[in-house]
Amino acid sequence: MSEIPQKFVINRRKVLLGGATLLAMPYVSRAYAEDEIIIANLHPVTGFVALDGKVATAGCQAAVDEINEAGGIHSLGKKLRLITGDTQGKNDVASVETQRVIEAGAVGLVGSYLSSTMRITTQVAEQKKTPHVADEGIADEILQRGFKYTFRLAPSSTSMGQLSADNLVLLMKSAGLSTLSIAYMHEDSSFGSSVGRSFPGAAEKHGIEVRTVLSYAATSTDLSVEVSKLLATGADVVAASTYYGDGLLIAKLIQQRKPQIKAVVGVGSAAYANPSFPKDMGAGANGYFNNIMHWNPASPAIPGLLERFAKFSGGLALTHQGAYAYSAVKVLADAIERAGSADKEAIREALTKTNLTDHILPQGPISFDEVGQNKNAGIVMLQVQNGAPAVVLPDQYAQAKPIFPATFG
Amino acid sequence: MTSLIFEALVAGVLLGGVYGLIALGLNIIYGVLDIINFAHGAMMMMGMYLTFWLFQVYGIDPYLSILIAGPVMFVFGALVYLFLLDPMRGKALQNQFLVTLGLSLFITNAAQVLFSPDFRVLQPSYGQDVIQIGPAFVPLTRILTFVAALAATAVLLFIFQRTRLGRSIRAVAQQQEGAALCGINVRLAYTLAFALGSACVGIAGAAVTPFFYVSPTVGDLFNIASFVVVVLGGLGSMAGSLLGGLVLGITVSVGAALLPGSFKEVLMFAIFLGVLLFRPTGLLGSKA
Amino acid sequence: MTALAANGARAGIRGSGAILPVLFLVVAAAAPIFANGYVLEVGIVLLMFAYLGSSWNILGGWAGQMSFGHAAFFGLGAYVSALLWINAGVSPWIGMLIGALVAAAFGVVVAIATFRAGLRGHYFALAMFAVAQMLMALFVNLKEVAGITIGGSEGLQLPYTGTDPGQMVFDSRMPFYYILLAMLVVVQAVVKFISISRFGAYLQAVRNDEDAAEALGVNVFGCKVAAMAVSAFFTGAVGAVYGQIYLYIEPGIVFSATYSIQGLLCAVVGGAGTVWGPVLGALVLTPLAEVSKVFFRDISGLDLMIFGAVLIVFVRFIPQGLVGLWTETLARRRGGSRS
Repeated sequence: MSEIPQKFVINRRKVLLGGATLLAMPYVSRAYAEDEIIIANLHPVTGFVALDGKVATAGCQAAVDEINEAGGIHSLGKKLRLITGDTQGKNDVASVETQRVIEAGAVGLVGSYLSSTMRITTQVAEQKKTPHVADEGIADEILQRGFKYTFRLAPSSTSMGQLSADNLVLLMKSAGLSTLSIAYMHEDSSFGSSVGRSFPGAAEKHGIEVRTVLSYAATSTDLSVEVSKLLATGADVVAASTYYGDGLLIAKLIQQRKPQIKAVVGVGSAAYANPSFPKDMGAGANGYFNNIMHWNPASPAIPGLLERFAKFSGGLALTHQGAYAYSAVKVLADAIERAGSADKEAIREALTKTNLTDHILPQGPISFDEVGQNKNAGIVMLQVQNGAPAVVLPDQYAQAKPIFPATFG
Repeated sequence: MTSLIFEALVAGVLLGGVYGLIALGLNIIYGVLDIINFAHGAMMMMGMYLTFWLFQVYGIDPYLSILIAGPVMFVFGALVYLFLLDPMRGKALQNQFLVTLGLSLFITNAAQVLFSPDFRVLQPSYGQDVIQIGPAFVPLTRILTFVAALAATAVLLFIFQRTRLGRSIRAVAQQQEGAALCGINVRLAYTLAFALGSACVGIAGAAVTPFFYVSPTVGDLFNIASFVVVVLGGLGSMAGSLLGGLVLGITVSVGAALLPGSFKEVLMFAIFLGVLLFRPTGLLGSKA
Repeated sequence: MTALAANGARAGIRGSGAILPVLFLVVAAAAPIFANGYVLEVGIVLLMFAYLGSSWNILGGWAGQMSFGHAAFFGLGAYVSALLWINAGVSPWIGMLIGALVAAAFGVVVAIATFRAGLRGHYFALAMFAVAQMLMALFVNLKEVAGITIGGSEGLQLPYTGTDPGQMVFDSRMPFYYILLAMLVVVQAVVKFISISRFGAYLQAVRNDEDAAEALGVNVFGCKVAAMAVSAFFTGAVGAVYGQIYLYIEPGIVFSATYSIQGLLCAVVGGAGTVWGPVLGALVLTPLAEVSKVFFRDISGLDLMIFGAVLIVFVRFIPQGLVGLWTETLARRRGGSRS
């Protein structure tokens, strides 16, 4: 027994050497042209939210493509090069990937979509003094840590809940109603729970009656009882914070019951008013509302973006994940342009002074407050009309009038 | 409230039938081969994609696809057994476990490479039809799926209890050497068992596609529940699978009606542990 | 070439058993000097998986009680330490020990319940899986207990204070590399001690044949409970360190199957029930995952697909683990040279 450890010690050393060789391999490809500025996007390109990660990555690629086609960073006379880190939606992988792209020379980071990985990628960025423009990832706590290198485009979960409640009031008034009751369900992971913490309270403050708040696991194979519970309250509106698959199941269940409700309204739902939703629900998708981050449909840049996005997306439709990732790259590039330097500190400095008016988001100029939050971050309310999602509120971004009470089907 | 509980009962029974079929597949494999197949969910996903594409490309009704998904997964299961698991026979538990885990990783990510991570939904013309049972509104697809699952379960139980093939597989499960002496081809019996187990989950995959969505990771959702069902019914007990499925379906559904938040998940695992600790042979099991 | 390797192997056997582990330690300790941030981060993951593997191995390898649910201990360690730090200002250095003790105590309770019920093999593995899943579901639903924020599914954000060694907070990854290395040394020393102790002999007897061990007068039940306690203790301790590295824990992560399976994976690939197997397994698997990411990242999913395939091939063709393969090869060569 005692001699066994000595035998394989040699093997272990060999393996150690082998491991070291393997680890050195990424650096073979590390050499890059001096006339390029490297930036990186960190997104879950594989794993359970791979769809969103791929759309976000295509958004980043479209932004870099557009910038380079227009001559790159003019103040430096250099083009941008994008490298992608796959977080797989996992924290330890996100950490490794953030380190990897920084070591590969990235002077600025964009990402990383999920709130959970966002806490990790921003933490590593802070330690490595690398500017990080956060696209989504709405958890309040991300910007409560005093980080200097994190700048976030998306609203916080608290303001997401408040803005959704604001939109709901606008919707109520658009139909000339003075009271409204809602029944609300949210999925129970960190996204749904954080929105679920702020939205019901904000709605009540506006005088909306919240009949019930119910949480559920997005991994459930059946949600029919939950939906029945919700409908049994007799509320005017069903509100829901969902991921895609569970949101779809809920919508089908609601559809089958043909309930006497005025509308289904998503609160940051990944399903309702997603471009795939009408395809997956058929005509039943019509009428669904969603409060969500989005682009400004009136922005003149949109047709060009859609065309460019299609080059990289492999057939996936543009969603807010793509629009925000695209915008994050544009914000970062704008800062590099103004900094006139690829120095990370100078870029960070420039980011704090961001005042970008030429953008595609439904909000005023993009600028960041002292903790790095996009001051004017806004959301819109979409409704599926004639098989396609359209912005219906607030008025200044609206493509169509809201149909409320909604006619299903 | 009473109508809600009645509805929960109906939903639970309908879901339980599907759980039962998935668990039956897992259980055949466990009962005969002593392998817990962690790729079970991934194989279910294969059945779901197959059904989806058959509908999309050839317009084949998803319930008709059962007759295709079953045999296809049967062959797939046989190949997996012959090439991956047969050489592992008699090796440590964790090795067999890791092979099925590796397989699960491989299949799931292969699906992502081939089909993209996009969610897909099959929409048969009768997808939104509803039937009223007492105060409960039940989607037609759920009922059809339940019936299909019951029928598949019955056919498999018949094969195992009444046919020569089934008897020889059971003989191998009980007494490998004795069966070999009686001239039964042990390797063939094992291959057939794994293939039948795979066919079960392929059928289950086809049967849920009309009311569920399809994505590369969708199998994981059913995987965990099927482990619970197998333990509940009794590891190795085939009739127990169906009973376990129904019990779990009803418990989770009624739990959702009565408990706040997602405590129904806690309930599911509490039952799981309770059965393991106090009746490890399960409700109908005999093998401990 | 073959003769050389065999000679080298014999020289290894003749040489002092301490030299090569010490060499490993020196290389591992010196590595960060030459490593950049990325390699250091991979090193941290590697050390954590090696450590998890060795901790799992005490119960799963040495005592032969395969667990699918060690994430239960990992998560408990992380939560206990984090809650003590946030609410009572207890330094995570102490919180780590308390977390490890809580995990061990929980392990004892689980062990008594499951082993009393006579659970073995698959039954025990599945019971452990259920324990971890249940804790996850429970913590997802626990927002607050007696005025103390547990955080529910949103988890706990740990305070970020810049570097403060007394509170195990560092503005760099480097210290964590050394903390994990030191912890790995401790767990390896304990495993080495077990391997040459009477307790270790009992565990192996239990693994090989519980009934025979019982007949020989081994307290099988006591041995299994003790193995669980030690295994859970070490797993809990590293859970606390995980919290300090990433400064954020949530139930969906710290109780996830990842932390149950990674340890098992390293131990089995390296060689279950051997002293150095888990370390070896981590040394092979972690770089493998990184390299497949580098080469196949253009098609998303392809890297994990290949990792899965390699895993199958590994276990299919080297079921005895790397250590076992080495021992067998050596024995065959020795046999060959004699004939």
